[in-house]
Amino acid sequence: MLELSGVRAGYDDIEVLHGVDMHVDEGEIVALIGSNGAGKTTTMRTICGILSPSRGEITYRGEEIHSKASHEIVERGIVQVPENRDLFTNMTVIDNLLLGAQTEEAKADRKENLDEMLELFPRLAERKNQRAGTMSGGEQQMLTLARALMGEPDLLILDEPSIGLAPHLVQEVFDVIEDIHAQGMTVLMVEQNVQQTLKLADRGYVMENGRISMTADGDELLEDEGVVEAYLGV
Amino acid sequence: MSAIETVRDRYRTFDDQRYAPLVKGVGLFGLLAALPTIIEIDVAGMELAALLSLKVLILTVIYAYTAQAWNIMSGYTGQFSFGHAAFFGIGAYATQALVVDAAVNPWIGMLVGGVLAGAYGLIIGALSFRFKLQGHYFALATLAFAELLRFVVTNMSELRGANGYFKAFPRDYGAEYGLVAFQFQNDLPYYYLIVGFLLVVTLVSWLIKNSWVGLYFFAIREDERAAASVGVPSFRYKLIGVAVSAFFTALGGAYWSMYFNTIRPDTVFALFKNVELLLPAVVGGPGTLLGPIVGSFIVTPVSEIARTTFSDINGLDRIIYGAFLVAIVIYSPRGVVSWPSQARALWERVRGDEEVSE
Ligand SMILES: Nc1ncnc2c1ncn2[C@@H]1O[C@H](COP(=O)(O)OP(=O)(O)O)[C@@H](O)[C@H]1O
Ligand SMILES: [Mg+2]
Repeated sequence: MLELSGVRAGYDDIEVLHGVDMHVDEGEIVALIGSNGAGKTTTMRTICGILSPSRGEITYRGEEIHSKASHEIVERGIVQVPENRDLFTNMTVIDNLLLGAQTEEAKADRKENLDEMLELFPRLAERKNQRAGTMSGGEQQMLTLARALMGEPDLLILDEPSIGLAPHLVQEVFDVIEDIHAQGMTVLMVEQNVQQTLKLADRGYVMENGRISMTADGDELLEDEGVVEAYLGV
Repeated sequence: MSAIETVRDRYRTFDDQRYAPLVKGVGLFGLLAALPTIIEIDVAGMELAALLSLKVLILTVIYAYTAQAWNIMSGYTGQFSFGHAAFFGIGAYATQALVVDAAVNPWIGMLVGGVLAGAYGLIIGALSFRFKLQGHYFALATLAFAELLRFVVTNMSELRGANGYFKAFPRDYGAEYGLVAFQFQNDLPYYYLIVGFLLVVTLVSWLIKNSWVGLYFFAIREDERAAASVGVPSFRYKLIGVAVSAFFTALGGAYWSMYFNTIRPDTVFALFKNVELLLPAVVGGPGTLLGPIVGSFIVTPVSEIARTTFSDINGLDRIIYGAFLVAIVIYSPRGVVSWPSQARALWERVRGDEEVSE
């Protein structure tokens, strides 16, 4: 479904990704793990067209997408929950959710999807006419996730969706991910909760210094000594 | 519950109704339509019209109209234009040049001007958005494009250079005085015409505000990078904002040229015209529907009355505009229309303090 080969990208003159190869197949949950500053967020931004690679290529369903603008990538069904949330803090919860519906299909279904999201995240329903900026960090994170789902993505990209959340909310986020995956959505996710993520994921990639250093099934990675030592703090 | 709270509660339930915008619109435009009659009422032996003449009213509504047009781009998408005189002048010149030089009906000239201004707006937008100009840099770029046009027109003998145009009589383009000719022999019809223009642009503005386009505009205004990353084609929507705003601003210029009869580069393309076109929206409340109208009713009469009363002080109206601009930008960037809700918040805070101290 999604394939990166030899992708190099970065900011201005600094190259952060030095040739990344990875792929995501239809229906999978794929995890990307690695220490801080390894380049995970940069990878997500490059896939979504916020950064463009200097070398290498990214294809989605057989089509090159690495030279496309971010709105063209969203149109193709790739939606991201960014690390920094990117909410419109002065707009209401409802308006933020509506802004998630960008493809024609998503726009057509927006009424049903809106109801569904408010049901799935009751806290958002209580605050639906409140400005997004007045909500707590956890609620904002839920809103970001719900907004992404409003886009009816085929491939959902999650960059640390549980960061800074209280434990019971972390569980809620993982439940939602499991739920939408069961409905057939493909997921590529970056997470600090490595154990929980790898249990959920079909496959995982380990990133170090802008390169993929290892890839295996989720369970295998959980048992790998190097991974356990580096990321599970055992 | 105190009386004031009851009233407020009633207003809130009214505000939630579907028909609320219609009622407010009819109320507002009904008031505007009644104004020429209202100013003739004697108050303590003096007619209001001595202070607020029909001419001043027309000028006020013209600037309410142009500010509403400016607001569609700069208030809604947040791309602050300091160069709307370019569009205003294009509208005025297209109308007059076609009437005088080609005997074309001014209504057609007005539409030609609107389209040309829209095209000029697209060029300005495409260039400056491609080069990612924002904030002050974008404002300066729009100003440069407006000044460029003034320079070009001043030096173009085909457009009569610095002398400009003087309006032809209706018979010269095959019409009688009246609506078709866009010419009347007294001011009252002109007043109702510009109120009609204001109604149209306000309606368009309201429709935009309540549609997807408006949602995209506001998202771009708030955080363009985030808007792009959720998938809003921001370049395209900023261009839509410029084009619509430029089109309507040009119609204002066309009206201006038909009402004031004569146009010159240093009136319709004037450097100061850029300020006059944006100030009512900034004072009244940028990004709101009511702001440009309220703003113009504050700014325009005051500066007009001052200008005619103290006519020996050159440039007094500009000083007043400057004072308004500085005061509002520093003390109330959300404009006059935000005062009621701010006053309410203040009142509630004061009362809250009292309750605590008791
Ligand atoms: N906006 C930016 N400008 C310049 N350098 C950046 C920027 N964002 C991240 N970096 C650098 O890129 C590297 C990788 O960052 P990032 O992709 O955010 O890592 P991760 O998400 O894996 O923690 C880091 O060295 C970081 O300092
Ligand atoms: Mg990161």
